[in-house]
Amino acid sequence: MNDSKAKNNLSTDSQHPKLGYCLRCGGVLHVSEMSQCPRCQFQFNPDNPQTYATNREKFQCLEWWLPGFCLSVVVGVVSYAILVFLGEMSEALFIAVPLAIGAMLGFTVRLGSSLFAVIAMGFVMIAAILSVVLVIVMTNLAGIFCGVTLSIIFLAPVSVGVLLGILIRKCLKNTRYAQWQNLPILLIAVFPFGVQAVDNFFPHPIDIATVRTEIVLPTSASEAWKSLMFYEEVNHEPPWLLKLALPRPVRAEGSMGQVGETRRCIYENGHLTKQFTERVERRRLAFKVIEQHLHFERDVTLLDGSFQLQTLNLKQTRMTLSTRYIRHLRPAWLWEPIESKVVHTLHQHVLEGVRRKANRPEKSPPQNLSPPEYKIPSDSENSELWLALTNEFD
Amino acid sequence: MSLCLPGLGQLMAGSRWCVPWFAGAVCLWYIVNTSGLPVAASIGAVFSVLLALLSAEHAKRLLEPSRSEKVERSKPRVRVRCKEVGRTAVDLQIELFLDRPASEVWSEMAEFTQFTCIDPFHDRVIVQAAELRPGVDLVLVHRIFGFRFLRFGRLLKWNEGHGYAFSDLSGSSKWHGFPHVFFYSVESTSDGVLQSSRLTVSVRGKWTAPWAPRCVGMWWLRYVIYEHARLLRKIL
Repeated sequence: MNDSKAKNNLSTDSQHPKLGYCLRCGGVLHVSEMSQCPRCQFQFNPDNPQTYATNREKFQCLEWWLPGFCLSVVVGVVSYAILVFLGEMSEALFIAVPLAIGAMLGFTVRLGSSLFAVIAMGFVMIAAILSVVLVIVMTNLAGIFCGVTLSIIFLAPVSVGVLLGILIRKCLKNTRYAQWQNLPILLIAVFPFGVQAVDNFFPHPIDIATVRTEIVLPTSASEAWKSLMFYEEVNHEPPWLLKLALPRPVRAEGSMGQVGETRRCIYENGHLTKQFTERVERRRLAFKVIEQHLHFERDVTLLDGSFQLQTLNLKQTRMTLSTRYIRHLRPAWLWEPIESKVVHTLHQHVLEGVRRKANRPEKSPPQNLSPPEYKIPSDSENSELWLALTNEFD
Repeated sequence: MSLCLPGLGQLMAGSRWCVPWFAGAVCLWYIVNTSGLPVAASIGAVFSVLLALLSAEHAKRLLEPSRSEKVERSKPRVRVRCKEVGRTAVDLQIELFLDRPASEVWSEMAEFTQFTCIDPFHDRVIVQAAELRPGVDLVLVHRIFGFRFLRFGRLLKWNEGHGYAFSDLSGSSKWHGFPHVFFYSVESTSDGVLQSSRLTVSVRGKWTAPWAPRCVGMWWLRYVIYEHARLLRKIL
C-alpha cells in the first residue's frame, strides 16, 4: 500500500519539470519543492504548469525582451544615422553607439540570471547587432563590407554595454527614486551624442596612412616595367575581400605613362582619376589621386601611390606598391588593421596581375608604356633609387 | 489577418461579411490603379490603412463571445462614469441594469477566470493557487493590438453572492504601468414583481505615464471603459 502510494507520488513528481521560472520576475523555481517564488514571493501552483514558465515559454514571453530589443535597435539606428549625418566617423559612432545599444539591452531586457538566460541574452544581443547593421546597410548609411565589419566591431562594446546595463539596473533597482526606470533609458539614448560633444573639444590632426606591399618578381626590371597595371586592368578573379570591400572596376580611360597625364578609372558606382606625377623608366611610377567618387569618401581619402622597382639580379625584381590615404575613421587603432588588410589585399591582387602578365610567353609591350622617358626628379638624384638606376644593367 | 487583407479575418471567422470587405478592397485597388491623379497613390495608401483598420476591428468584434441567441433577453441599460480624483488617480465605473435576479448574475460572476476576461484587454486570467481565495496571486494575460503580455495581481476580496475585487499591476513595479484595482459587485434591485439587478464594475487606478498628457490618458481610459461596457452588455 505504502509502496503504491510512494510510486504514485513519484509518478506525480516526475510529471512536473524539476525547474521552472517565475512568471513575474523570472526567478528559478524548484517546482516540486515550493509554491512561491523565493525572489519575489509570487505564488504558483506546482500542479498547474500554466502558473510558471518553462525555459521555452519564458523566452517566447515577448514582454521580457521585445520592448527592450526594439528600443535598443531604434536607439542604435537613430544615433548612428544622426552621427553619420553630422559628418563624424569617430569613437562616438563606433564605440559609444554600440555601448548604448548594449546598455539599453542590459537595462531593459529581463531574462533572469540562469544559464539559459545568459544564452538567451547572447542571442538577443546578436539579433540586436544584426538588426541595427541591417537597417544601416538598407538605408545606405554603410555598404555591405562596412556592415559586416561593423557587426564584428560592435560585438565587444555591445557586450560591455550589456554588462553595464545590467549593473545599472541592479544598482538602481532598490532606490526609491520614482524615475529610476525612465531616466537611465534617456541617458543611455543621449550617451553617444555626449561622447561626440566631448570629442569635438579635442583637435584631430589629419591622419595620413601609408601602406606598402612588396613582391619579388621572377623577371627583369624591364619586363616588370612593361607589365605595370592598375586594379581595373587586372584580369584574374579578385579575392572575396576585394569583391566585398571595393566597387567593381568597369574600365579605364586615358593613357598610362607620361607625367602630367591623367587616367580615369570607372567603377560600377563611381570613378577615380589619377594623375601621373613621376616616371623613372624601369624604376618608379608615381601618381596622385585628383578625383575620388567611390562612395567611401567618408572613410578614406586617397592621396597618391607609386610602383617602385628594384633590381635584385638579372632575373629577379622587387616591386613595391605603396598607397597613401587620409584616414577619417577613428579610433585609428580599431580601423588600421582592417584598412591595411584591404589595401594589402588590393596590392597583392595588382602585383599578382603584374606577375602573371610578366610571366606570359608573348610579351608584347603595351603601347602606352613604350615611349621611354627618363624624367628623374631633381631631389632623387642622390637617392638610393638613383644609384640603383645607374647601376642597372638591363 | 484583416490588417493584411481586409476581409480575411472575417473569412476565418466564418462570416459572410468577408464578401463586402473583399469587394471594398478590390474596388479601392481598382480605383487607385486606374485613376491618373498624381495624389492617387498617397490617398490610396491612407484609405488602404483605414480600410484595413476598420476591417480588423470588425473581425475582432465578430470573434468576441456573445450571449446565446436562444436566450431572449433585452439588452441591459448601461451607465458609464469617468472621474479624475486628485492629480493622478482615476475612478471609472460601469453600471449595468439587468432584468435578471442578482443570484443568476452572481452564478456567472462566480466563474472568476471567465467573467474577468470580459474585458477589452484580458485574454486569460490564471489563478496561481489551487484554491480561489482572497490573497491568491493572479496572472492577467493581456492582449493589445495583437501583442500579448503579462500583468500581475491579487484577489483582494471575495464576498460570496455579492462581488469581489482584484488588482491589476505591472510586472516591473507597483508604481508603473497604470496600477489599478477592479471591483465587481452585484446587488438586487427587485421590487417584488420584477427580478432585476445592478452589476457594478469599478476601476480605480493611477495614471503613471508622466510623458503622456493627462487628457490623452483620460481619453484612452474612456475609450477602454466604454469598450468594456460594450462587451459586458453584449454578453450579459
